[in-house]
Amino acid sequence: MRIATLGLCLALLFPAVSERPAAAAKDTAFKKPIKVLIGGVRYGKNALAMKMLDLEAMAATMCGSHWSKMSAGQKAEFQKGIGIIIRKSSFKKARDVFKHIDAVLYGKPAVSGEQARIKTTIVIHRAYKKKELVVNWVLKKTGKRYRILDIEMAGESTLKGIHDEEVQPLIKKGGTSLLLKKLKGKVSSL
Amino acid sequence: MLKRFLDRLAALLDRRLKTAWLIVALLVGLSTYATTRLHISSNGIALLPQDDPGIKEVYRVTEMLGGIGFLMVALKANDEKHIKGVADDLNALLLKMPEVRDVTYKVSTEFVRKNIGLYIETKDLVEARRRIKKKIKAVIRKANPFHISLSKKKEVKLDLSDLIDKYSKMGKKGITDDYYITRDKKMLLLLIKPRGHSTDLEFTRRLVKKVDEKLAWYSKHNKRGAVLKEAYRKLAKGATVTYGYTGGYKVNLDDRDSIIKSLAPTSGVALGGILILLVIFLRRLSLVLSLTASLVAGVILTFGFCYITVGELNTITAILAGILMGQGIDFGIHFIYRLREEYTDQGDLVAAIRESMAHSGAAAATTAATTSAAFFCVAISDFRGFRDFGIVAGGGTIIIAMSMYVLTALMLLALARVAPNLIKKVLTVKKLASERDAKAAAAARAEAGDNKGGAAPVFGWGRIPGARGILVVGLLLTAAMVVTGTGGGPLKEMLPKKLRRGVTFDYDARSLMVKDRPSIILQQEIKERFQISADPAAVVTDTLDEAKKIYDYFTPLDTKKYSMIDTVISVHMFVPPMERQKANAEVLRKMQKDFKPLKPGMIENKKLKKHYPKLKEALAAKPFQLEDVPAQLRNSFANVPESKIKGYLTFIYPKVALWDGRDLLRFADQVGTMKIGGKTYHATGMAIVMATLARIVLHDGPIFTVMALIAILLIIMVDLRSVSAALLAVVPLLMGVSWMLGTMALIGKHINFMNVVVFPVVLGYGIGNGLYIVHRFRETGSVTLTMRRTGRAVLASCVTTLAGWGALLFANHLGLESMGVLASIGIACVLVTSLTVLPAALQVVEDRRTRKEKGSKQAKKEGQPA
Repeated sequence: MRIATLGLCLALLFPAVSERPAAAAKDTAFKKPIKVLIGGVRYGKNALAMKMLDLEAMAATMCGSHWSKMSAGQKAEFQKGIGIIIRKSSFKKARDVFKHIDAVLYGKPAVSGEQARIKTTIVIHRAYKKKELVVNWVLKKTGKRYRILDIEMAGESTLKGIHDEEVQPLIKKGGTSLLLKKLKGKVSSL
Repeated sequence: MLKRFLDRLAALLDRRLKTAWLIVALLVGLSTYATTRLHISSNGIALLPQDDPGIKEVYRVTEMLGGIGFLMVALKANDEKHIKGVADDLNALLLKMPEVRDVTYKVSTEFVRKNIGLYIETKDLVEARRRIKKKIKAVIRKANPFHISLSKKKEVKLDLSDLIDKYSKMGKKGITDDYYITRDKKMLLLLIKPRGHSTDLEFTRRLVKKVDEKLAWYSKHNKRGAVLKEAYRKLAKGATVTYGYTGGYKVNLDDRDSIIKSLAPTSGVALGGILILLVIFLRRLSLVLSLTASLVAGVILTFGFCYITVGELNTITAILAGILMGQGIDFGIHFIYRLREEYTDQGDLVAAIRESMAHSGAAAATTAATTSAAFFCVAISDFRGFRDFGIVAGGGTIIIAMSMYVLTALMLLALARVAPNLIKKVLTVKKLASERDAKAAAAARAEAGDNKGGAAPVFGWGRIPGARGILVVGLLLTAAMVVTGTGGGPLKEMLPKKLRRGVTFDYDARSLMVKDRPSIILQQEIKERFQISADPAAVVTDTLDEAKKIYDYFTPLDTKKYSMIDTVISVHMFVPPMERQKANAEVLRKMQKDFKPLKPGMIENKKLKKHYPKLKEALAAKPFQLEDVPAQLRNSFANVPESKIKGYLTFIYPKVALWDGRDLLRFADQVGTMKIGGKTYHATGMAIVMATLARIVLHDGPIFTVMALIAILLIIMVDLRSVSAALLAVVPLLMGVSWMLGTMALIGKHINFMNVVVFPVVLGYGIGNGLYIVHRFRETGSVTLTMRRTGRAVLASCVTTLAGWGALLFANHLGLESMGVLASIGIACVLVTSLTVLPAALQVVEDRRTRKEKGSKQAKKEGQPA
């Protein structure tokens, strides 16, 4: 009887107990790409950090509705260029911020279909001053894992900003050729 | 009849010499006493029609605010903190003065700054939000290390300067600084509200003196090390603060003082010049002294008359003494000239006085009557200044004419009693004596039938050669001067451009002031730096609702209908329409959301970072009512606590400085009387008061002129009883005035508010010269005799008068200078026509008469009808 009861209790308890590791494992799935990205950027492991980014999806979002009108070659060129810029420029700027990280506090992820949003508060300790940077990460599931699609700061989507301020005006002015020309120019300047 | 009366009067004076002297002494004594009781009222407002609505409102506003306008003290220094500190100290000092009601030099605009989001137009707030949002996005993007930029872009600058400029003022006060300070922070205004009226010049003088003393004391005893110096153009270095005075009070005072300052030396020059000329013409100091004594007595009697009739002197009648003395001396000159003639001829003083008074006195009486009539016409004016002037000048002219004849005669009669030999010495003219002998010889020859050497006229004086030619030239010149003076009329295109304007009315009040007066220059500077054109007009309402109706009526301003208005300010300008407040509050709420993600750490721009907390405060503004507006802001639009009249004020600022009389009248026309919401309102203020005065002058001027001319013609007709004689008598007047206007047009001089009072003086000379000459001609029948005798008197009287008025040509005050110009040109032209054209015309008459007489004599000889 006692064994049965124990067994019953165990059986009842097990899901609750076993859920925490599962929940924790799920959270890790969202946190990992962020952690790896921050760490990779912080310690100069750019290649590793790049792997955490869904570059193709990012490029597609940046180009918006124009992405479908681009040829495969143009898409590849654009994606490649963006990747270089991120690696050589964005990561460099981010390193200046991340090297002073004191802590990263993660919020609860919010999943919606293939996408998830997670809020982080990055605590920066720099020149005796503490600053908190609130960053919202948008993750997209490709295959089994999540990769970073977008970064929102102060409510502003980085990809939307690039689309509205950079890509869209260039496409309007001179089409894909101008866009790629400017991209080339930016890459060669780095 | 007049001649008979004057003859009998002269006889009576001789018979009852002592009684006459007693009467004169009594009258002069009483008048002297009355003169000491006369005071000069410097309250200009009291001279204007008291039933004028604008004038009535002046009294209301004065009671409500304790006066109209300010005494402004403008401080200048290089250091903002220093100048503000000095202003704070001076405010405390000045408020202790009993003459000072209040000092305004700063107003807290914190309430307005905090609620600025609710004041501005909604569309502007939406635009501001758009620009700010764009900048916020740019700031956030820049802070985001992952943002990519593909092309070089200009940094997004947040430029709200156009909106800030648009809303940096509330009414006429900037809201970025509580002090009344310029944008460059180098000039600060203290607006002193005195307890007295700006038209009370003695009060203003005391006030300015005391303020000066306070500033001097402060300069020596302040703890800031500030040194105060009165200077109008300089911006000093270091601890020195320069200051200057301006504002309605100071400008009025300066104007008055500059007149007195100009008059003092010019009066001395005039008096000296006149005395010297009199000695030259009369050659006897005793005669000069007796004339002067009669003149002074006449002026005293006139002031006695003034005391009985109007009771006081004002800023206009105060200058009458000079005008009357100038005219009076002419009566005396004519009397003495005739008296010497008669005495030289007859050798008997009493007979000479009787003849002189009968003949010269008759002409003088008519002259005095016509001049008085011209002055009395002015007495119908609504402007008390002119009215009193007309009454006193009109009465004074007659009094002085009588005084010059009667008193001078009395003095000579008295002198004859005590020193008969002196009389002979003083009154005998050697030249005339030889002429008398020549006349006697000619008469004897005529009696003896000795006509050898040609039949000479009765006295053998010859004739004026080329009379017809002179007359024709005179008429042509008159025609040319009329054309020039009027700007050509239908012949305008034939004249050079410079002369097409003719003589016009100069409306610019600055043409009447001292050149480069510091208070005016400072006022101009304040206008430019603070963008305040002039003192505003004020509208009084009993209730706040009425004030709101007026404010709403002018908001937005119908610039077509009210082209002269710059802005209207009221207590209600502090409360935007509730509809706008609510709409703006909604936009502000959205802007608060826009700012949420922006952290101070993200902002690199130092200026933006500095104002960020205040900006956030402004975004939190909530709709409010009038009661929420701080009392300090509301109180400027209500009566002072001690006022017996309660009410509210709305201020209307003109677009331009109202120096030009036409702008002044246009502004007064637009705001003087307004019908708003079924009720009539009257704006008031110095601009309205000056416009009222200008209107009276412009309206009454032509009326006075026409009335005076009609009166003059009627009197002359009654006196001369002949149309042709009357026409001859007005030749110097009509031609002289035409030449005067033509000359003024040629040299670019015009009529203005000050020199217009000189016209009756010129009219008086014009008619006087004509009457004296025509009267004498009628007596003698000989032009040359007339001109040798009476012509000399005319020359002497005009030249002495020219000396008097001509001294004003050197006055620093432009208004006085213009009076001197008009009077000098007018009297000179009248003199020239009196000595040229009139004698020529009389010669033509004489020749015609002679021919007629010859013809009838011839006919008689031949036994034919004449």
